[in-house]
Amino acid sequence: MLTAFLKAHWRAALISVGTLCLQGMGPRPEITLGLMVLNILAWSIPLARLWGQHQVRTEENATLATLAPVSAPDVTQVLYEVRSTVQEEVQRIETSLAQAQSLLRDAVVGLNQSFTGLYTQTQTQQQLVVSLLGDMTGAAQESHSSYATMQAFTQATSAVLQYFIDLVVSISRQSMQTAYKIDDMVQQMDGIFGLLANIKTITEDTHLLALNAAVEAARAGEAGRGFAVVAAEVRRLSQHSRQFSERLGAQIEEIKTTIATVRQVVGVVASTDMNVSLEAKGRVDAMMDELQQVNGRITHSLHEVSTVTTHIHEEIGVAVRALQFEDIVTQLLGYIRKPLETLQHLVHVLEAMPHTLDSAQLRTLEATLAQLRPVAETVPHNPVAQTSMSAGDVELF
Amino acid sequence: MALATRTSPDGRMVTIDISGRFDFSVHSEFRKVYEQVPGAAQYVIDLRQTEYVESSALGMLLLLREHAGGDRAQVKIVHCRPEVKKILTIANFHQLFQLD
Repeated sequence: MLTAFLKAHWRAALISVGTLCLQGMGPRPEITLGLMVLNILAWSIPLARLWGQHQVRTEENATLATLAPVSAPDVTQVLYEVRSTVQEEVQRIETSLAQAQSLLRDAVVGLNQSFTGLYTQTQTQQQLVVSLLGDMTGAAQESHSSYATMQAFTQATSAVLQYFIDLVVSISRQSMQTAYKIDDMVQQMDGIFGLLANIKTITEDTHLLALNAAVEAARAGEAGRGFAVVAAEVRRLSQHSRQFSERLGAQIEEIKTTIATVRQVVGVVASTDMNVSLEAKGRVDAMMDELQQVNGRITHSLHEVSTVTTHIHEEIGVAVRALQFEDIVTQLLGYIRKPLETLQHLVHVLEAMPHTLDSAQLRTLEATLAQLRPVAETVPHNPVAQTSMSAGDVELF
Repeated sequence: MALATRTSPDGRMVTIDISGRFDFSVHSEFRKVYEQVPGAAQYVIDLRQTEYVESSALGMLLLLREHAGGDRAQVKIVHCRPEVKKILTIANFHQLFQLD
């Protein structure tokens, strides 16, 4: 009888075997849950059919009992097999139901915790992003006395470099001006040299003149004695004058040497290559431009991250709402329990029956069944009207 | 000769060509060129053959500008090589001279 039943309902049996195999594969609660439900659904159809057949047979038996004396070991045997099969299946379904409910509860609790954690994490992330954005754009400058935005940094660096460049240009200009002035001085010194040459000529002429005067005085004899004294004095003066102009010449020569040294120094200052600094300014400017662009890109990306985080928040809200499906599924599972209880009760009735039936006993059985049927019929067909889990459409019951 | 001068027939425009390095060594000659043409109103510095501009050249150019009348001066710097133009631009010379 059992084999015949299983043969008739090979699909359900196959699903049972399959689910048992899959359950053995791994401890994933959601899969196990799904398999349980599948198992229950698979067996509900054959069991319902079996129940229907049993009803019909009981009625047929009752009819037969009124017509003929009851001594049917075949019927009793069949009833016995039906009873034990139903009992086994009911128990299996009950176990599966309990397991499914427990797994569902655990899974939902875990998911709730997980989503709450996720929500907190994304909230922290959002705060970080907002704070970063403030730093990047300098929006938080009121709270910071010295705000260091990229823009402010760039501007400050640029200003310092520009000051430095201006200084380089200004030093170059002043050095060249000094160099020109020194050139002028050298020229003026050369002019003094020319004048000194004139003085030298005058001194030599004076010397000759004095010599001439001395000769003339000697020729004049006693009368020229006084004049000879004057001539000697003039000669002496011209000698002094020559010594003086010679010393002046030497002094000016020294000055010229000094000026040449100064000119050299100024030349070195003016020639000191500032181009490295100038080019450095160019490079820093380029780097600043690039940094500014990178800064812009980072700010843009941060804005996008912020948007994404907001979306994640919304999605988490949807997921948490959807997790209320636990209530619905628990109620559905509870609904499955009711007919199972009826089935179990029926099994108890059948168990209590002797193996052979007389007509009185058959009537008792009939009465019990009649009692049970209204119970089955009063069970609400589906306490959960909900068929979809679309967000925001959950009714709590 | 690192420095050559051309004066327009009317003596109003002086063109100075500088070849090789524009550095301190040409300063006397450079100054002499513009001081010797007192009637000139316009100056053109042709850097076509200038390989390098030392920072002392910046001072020389500024002093030429002052000699030519400061803000009213008409001084053009033409045919700069890219690297030379870069240096002049960084020194903000494009605001003081006509830079080509």
